[in-house]
Amino acid sequence: MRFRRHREEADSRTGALMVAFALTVVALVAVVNLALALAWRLTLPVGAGYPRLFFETNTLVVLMLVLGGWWVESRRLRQGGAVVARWAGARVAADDILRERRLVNVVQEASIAARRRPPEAWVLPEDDSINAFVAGWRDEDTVIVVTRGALARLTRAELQGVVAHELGHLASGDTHRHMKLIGLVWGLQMVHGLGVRLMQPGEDGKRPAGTWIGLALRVSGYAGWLAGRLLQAAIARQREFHADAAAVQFTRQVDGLGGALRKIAGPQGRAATRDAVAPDASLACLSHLWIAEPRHARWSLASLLSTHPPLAERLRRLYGRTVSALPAPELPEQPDSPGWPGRSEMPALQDTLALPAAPSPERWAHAAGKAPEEAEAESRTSSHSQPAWPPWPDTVPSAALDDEGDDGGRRTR
Amino acid sequence: MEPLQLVILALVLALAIWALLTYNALVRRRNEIGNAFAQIDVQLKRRFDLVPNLVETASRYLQHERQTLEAVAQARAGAGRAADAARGHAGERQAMQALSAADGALGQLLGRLMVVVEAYPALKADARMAELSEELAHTENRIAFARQAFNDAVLDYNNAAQQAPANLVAGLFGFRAAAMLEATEQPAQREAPRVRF
Repeated sequence: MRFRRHREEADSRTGALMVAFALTVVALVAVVNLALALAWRLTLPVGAGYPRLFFETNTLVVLMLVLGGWWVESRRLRQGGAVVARWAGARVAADDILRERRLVNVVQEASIAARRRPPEAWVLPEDDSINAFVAGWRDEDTVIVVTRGALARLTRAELQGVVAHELGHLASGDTHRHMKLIGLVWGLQMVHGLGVRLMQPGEDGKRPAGTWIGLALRVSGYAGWLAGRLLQAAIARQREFHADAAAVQFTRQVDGLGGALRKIAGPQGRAATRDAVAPDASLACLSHLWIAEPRHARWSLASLLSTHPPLAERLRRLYGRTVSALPAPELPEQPDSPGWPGRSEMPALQDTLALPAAPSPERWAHAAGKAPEEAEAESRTSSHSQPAWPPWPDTVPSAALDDEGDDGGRRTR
Repeated sequence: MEPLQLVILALVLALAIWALLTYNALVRRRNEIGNAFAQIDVQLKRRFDLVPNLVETASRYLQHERQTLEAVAQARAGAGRAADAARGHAGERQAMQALSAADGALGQLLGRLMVVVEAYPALKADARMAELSEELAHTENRIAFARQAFNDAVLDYNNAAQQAPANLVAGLFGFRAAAMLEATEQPAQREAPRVRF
């Protein structure tokens, strides 16, 4: 996956959408003015001009509603990460449970790759689905919350991919951006709300005087609010693509995040998500930060409002082709073999090399003690052309030693 | 002042500001390299400290593997010396190569040790060994990611310093290209291990 190119593409699309969002607010002001002018015309006899400062007042009121609503909602969302995590029902990852210890390790590894301060690792113990989110406004109090299902069903590499995806969100300031956008959408909604209030019948049940104005506000407000929500969802989807590319950049492999997404798309992943505790309304504001929302498998009209692109499209961009879903059973609790350095996982030795299950110590010693020349000769005559073990380095390469070239005077051969 | 003089003054001012911003950006990126290198040092130290525990736990079961264990201990010592030598020379080609070599040797031997551990079910089932395995995997990953982060920092810096027109500022103030850490020094290291009996 050409992750740098994907990141740049997502960034430029995001920029364009943010400009569109700003234009939406401007358009809303214009439309409100237009609608109110129309309402004025309808309410009053022809020939009466507009009152003084009519348009200025309208503009000011709309901006106050939008920006005021934004400020109020932002304040509410700008909690520390731990507050949000506790809201969601999470707890700090425990050191003595191997899986949670592994999560803490994985978070630290991915933070090194992302060149960021590691967020605190929290666990959602009641949730069996595979999911994760980040929360927090300031660098010092960001947290990453991972479900118990993710810890149990994902391999170490896949967990690393998920964590790297969330760190991608943090690294590109998505948490801040989304909170601003949500606040703005809330503000846009306030214009609509004012229109509804103006249209409410009075105590005597008669239509109030400002009905037409209320209607104008309601219609334009709804249009602005809908446009805002569509744009916010489009921006959220671009950020998901960006975070996917960032995850590949940090882990330098596609199979980690790809494997996790395939498991989420699979039957067990989907079933677990259906049974998952539905987040309440206050948490819906966090929906864009979860890693997956598997309700929409393919593009559709309803998916335009979805904050996540369809899983199939995300997998296609990761792998460059269509891939199948994977089953996601709970894995047995044991540490993965560390395998070759630098990789977090190696399949069982027996499977890859078709060896007898447990060679006796004597055979191992014999094989290890063999001189490299014999091993070379053997490999040449065998039917597989596999290279032999690289020879034991009898000394550390001399360039790495200091001037004396002294390694304790002992050599292995 | 004539309009033409004003325009020229504005252009010169703009050029000066651009040069200043570019210089600062280059300094920031260069410092990022130093920071990323220090990270690697921290991770290497961590592995360095972990290896004696590992060797001690393994040696109880692996009497036949004395050669392996001794090789690991030696490689550890070599890696320590290389890290000391490389401190303060982040980004210089020779120091980076030496560090890569020593670090790679130790990593390769540890990997081989863990492959050997796979063959001893009693050792693998030992609880302490299980913890150490996870810690070792974690430490190896931290080293790998620290190296990757270092290389990414070097890439950002080289991109900034070598692309036009910033390369004019870079040349003027002595910002040279930095060297990346290479993963493998000998072709043999690139081949995956195959066990032969």
